[in-house]
Amino acid sequence: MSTDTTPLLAIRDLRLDFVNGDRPLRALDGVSLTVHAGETVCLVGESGSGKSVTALSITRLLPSPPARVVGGSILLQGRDVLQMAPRELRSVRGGIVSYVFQDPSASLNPVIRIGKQILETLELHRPDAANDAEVVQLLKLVGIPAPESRARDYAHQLSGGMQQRVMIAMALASRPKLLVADEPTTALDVTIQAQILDLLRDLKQRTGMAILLITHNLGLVSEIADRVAVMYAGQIVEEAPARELLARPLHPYTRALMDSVPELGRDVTRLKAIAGNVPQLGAWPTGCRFHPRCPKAIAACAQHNPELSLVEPAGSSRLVRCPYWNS
Amino acid sequence: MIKRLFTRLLWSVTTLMGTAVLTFLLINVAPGDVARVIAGPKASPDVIKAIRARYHLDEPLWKRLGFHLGQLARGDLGHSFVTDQPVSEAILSRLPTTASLASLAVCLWMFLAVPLGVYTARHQGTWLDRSVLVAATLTLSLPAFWLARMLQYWMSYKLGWFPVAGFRGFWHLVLPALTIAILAVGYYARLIHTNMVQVLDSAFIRAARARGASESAVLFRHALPNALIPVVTILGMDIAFLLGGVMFTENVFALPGIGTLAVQSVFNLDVPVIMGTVMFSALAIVIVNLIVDMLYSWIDPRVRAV
Repeated sequence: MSTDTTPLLAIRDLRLDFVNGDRPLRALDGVSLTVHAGETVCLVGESGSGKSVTALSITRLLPSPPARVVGGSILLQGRDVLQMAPRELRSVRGGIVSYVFQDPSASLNPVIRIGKQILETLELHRPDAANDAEVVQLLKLVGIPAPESRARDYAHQLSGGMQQRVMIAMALASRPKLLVADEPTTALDVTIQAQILDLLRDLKQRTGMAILLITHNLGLVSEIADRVAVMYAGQIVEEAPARELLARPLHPYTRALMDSVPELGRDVTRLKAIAGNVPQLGAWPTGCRFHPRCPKAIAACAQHNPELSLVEPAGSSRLVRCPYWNS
Repeated sequence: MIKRLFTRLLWSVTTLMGTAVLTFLLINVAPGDVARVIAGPKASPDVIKAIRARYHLDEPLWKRLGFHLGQLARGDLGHSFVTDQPVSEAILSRLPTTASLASLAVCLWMFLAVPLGVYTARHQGTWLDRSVLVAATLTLSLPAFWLARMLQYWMSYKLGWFPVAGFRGFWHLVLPALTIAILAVGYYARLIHTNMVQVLDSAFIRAARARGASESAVLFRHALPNALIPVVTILGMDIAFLLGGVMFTENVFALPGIGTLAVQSVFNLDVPVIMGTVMFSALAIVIVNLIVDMLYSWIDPRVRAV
């Protein structure tokens, strides 16, 4: 991966609060994440770890209030999203960064024909291509049969898998540089999940766009990711090339996550789960945030929160937020 | 679709039948001798007897009910006791007045309520949002006859901006329509506000923003049509009520509408007219409901599929 050019997306030390009354709750605490052009990055973590908040922050989609960025920067092709005026921000949304969300049935407007909704994106970002032929072309691209007649359908007339394909078609309409897919397969049947994943991989190859895939499912990582970042309690705890991370997870949390994935063919009597619960927003433990659930925790872990630092001996690009990863 | 229309029609007829029977029974148990009212206080017993015979008032109740229903089925509402004018003619001649008053009132309040509802939903907690909430509560609890009299006194009598009463053209409709609109606008602004707040929170709104849609496109193209779907039902009911006659407002401004006709007929114990106006209100409600029902499948594609 070449790093000498400006990265497509560079989130630096992002800190974000949710203001609830006069008590701000920290949701992101120093998140740094880089996505290069054409790269597929997976952001993995349990619910409430801050991965969706990170994804929405990229184009400031979180309503403010209650969300408030208190520090850091988000550079998109070198431009700081946090400094953008509304008009510029709108051209970025759907233009450079497109989104596919978790629940496709709720993400499509129920009273507007899907073709019209795709056309809207085209009008906003590629006005010269805003015509029915291009809409049909996009529907065909995402594998929707009989696209001419489907374009006149409403969302409720399509199955969940088809709805997600429409969402993807809409996201691709502007030919974005980065597709942020926030749990795109969670609301779908398992067989459909595989189809959607195949589609994303195929489209990535064809368009050369980068993908930031948000998921709690480590199984997806091996399928699609170049690089993985693991989030826990508003921080990234490990970041590594996908193959290396899957072969040898370093952070105790990543290991626990991988242990909790049931393996096919192995005789499993009881699913392994990580003891304890994800800490609530605003109730993060002092020291290392994972230490109350960590099987290897020692007294020092409760004292101070370790930095996310490069793993020395490997000399690679692996980052881990645990000084004892080697023990 | 055809089947739904058919069942709806069947229900409508049943509703109308029920209304007819109920009004007939109510009027007959109410005190007051109709024959004596028609004949006047000094009439001789013979005259009263003749009148009873003419209007079949001496027949048993069930027979008269049957006769009444049969008449209704033929579309005949009978003749006024007072003027001898056919009741349907009396109602139809007053319908244009009431209908124009109702349309003007509806236009006025929707014209105000939609922007207010949308704006306050977008800017929750601002002073305008709070003022609309207070004003809505206030106007909702205002009595119509008081507001009508106040507007009439200040805007017509004191300021001379509008004609005081009667109906000789558009300007005579403005104050009565304003009265009705003021009473309704707060309620509708809040209704639209609540629906908008709910819709603005949905995933498809976030998706529209994520595509780079402008704020006005988000509000008016994506959110408002969804927020107005539930409003249509209530608006339909209110239009139906207005068509049935706005008793207080029409009376205060001496508008020759169905409301004044209804009130007059009650004072005169003009039974056919009373029953006629009630039947007309019921018919208006039934028809508007039918229209709303059909309209629904047009504005909400999800209903069409069912």
